Amino acid sequence: MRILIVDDSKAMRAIVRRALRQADLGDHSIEEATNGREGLSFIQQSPPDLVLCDLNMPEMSGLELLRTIKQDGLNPRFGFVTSEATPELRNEASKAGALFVITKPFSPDVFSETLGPIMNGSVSAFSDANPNDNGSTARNSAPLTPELTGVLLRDLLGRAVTVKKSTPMALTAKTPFVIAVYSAGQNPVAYLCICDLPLAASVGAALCMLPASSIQETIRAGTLAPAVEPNLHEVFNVMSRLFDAAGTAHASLAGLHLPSTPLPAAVTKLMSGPANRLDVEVNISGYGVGRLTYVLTQ
Amino acid sequence: MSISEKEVCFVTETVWAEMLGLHLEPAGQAATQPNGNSLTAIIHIEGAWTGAAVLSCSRRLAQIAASIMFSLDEGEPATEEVRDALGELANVIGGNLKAMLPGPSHLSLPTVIEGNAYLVSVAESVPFHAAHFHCDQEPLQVDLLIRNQNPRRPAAASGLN
Repeated sequence: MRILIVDDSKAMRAIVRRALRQADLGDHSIEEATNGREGLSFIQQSPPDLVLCDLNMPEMSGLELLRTIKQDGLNPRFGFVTSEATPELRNEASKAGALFVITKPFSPDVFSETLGPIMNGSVSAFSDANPNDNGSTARNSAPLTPELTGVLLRDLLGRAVTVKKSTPMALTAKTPFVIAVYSAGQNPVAYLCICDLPLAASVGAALCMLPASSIQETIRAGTLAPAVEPNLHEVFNVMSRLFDAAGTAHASLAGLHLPSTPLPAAVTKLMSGPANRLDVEVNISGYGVGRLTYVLTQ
Repeated sequence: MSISEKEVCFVTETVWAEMLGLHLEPAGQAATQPNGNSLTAIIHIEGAWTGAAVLSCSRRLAQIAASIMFSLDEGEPATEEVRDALGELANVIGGNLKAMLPGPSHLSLPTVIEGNAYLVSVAESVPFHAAHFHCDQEPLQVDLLIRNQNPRRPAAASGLN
């Protein structure tokens, strides 16, 4: 496989080369470009199999490069390796057609877990669930699974995430939850994503690079820090794609309820009544374990 | 959404550990003034939150970082490699700090300065947080500057002198 590294920093190109080697992804030929324009010229002349690209570069940014090669009809597997890890940028990258976003700093393990499935062709996660070139939403025919949840959270958080099925979580009124409500079609409460406090705190901390110790402080306080809320909103917004995969009507985040906010009657009814459920345990590397329950009416 | 000094320290320590495999020892301000040549890398953040992340260290520490980043077992890294390495470290620290600050905002490309007994002045900016460390007995300083809301106040001076 031919891999192209596009980064204006020679030091970072060296680190990416080393991470590829340490990730034990097999033998590959690796070539380098020092900015987006040079990367474009390289890709147009001889398209590589995989492009690992920085976002912020002189001459032409990584996003401009990706959009240009898509317009040219070139479609190498493409992902970003960047220090800019905001959910908005990840969303923009995935909309442009990136398969993954790896956040600097990174470990060889992240390279291995992210690139391994992409290089062997078993995962094309972002492209399956992203808006395609004409702006309409491409739907993934796969059902909602722990694996899809893991891929999405790993790409959002830029670190290793494992997700497995678990026993049903007890949804009692006394337990603090963060609840995302999704509408779909004519149904204002079509899906719920119910996150326990340890998981919500872990996701918020991992996104903000807060120390893992902040999670225990959150659990003791019984509620989330206000600074975490906008990040969680973005995470749950991106997670709406998982319901697109599960159903037919396009899902949109309709509301986010923190532990301290009262729940609408339609939400408590759906939580307590019979419904399709998927309960999973989520382990975010370096942050800890939490639980997540999807409730589906469709 | 804002950011604490503790979080600036955590981001710096994490970047240093994950990119270089080096441990940072927190230090007092007075203990982090280097002698001789030093380098400063600046990354500007412009948008909903406007300011700059400024990374300053001795030339020897920048050389150590460059040697690790370029996997040099022997011999000194070239001057351009030392500057590139420090600029990239500032870029990664700045990018991670940006993610914790109000957005949307844009990150500039890094600017790197090298010299002896200089002051760095970022126009219309004032100190927001500062983190001081030692690494392999060499000083390292990270300043987060914020755009001054009151233009009569002086510009922030950073760097090492």
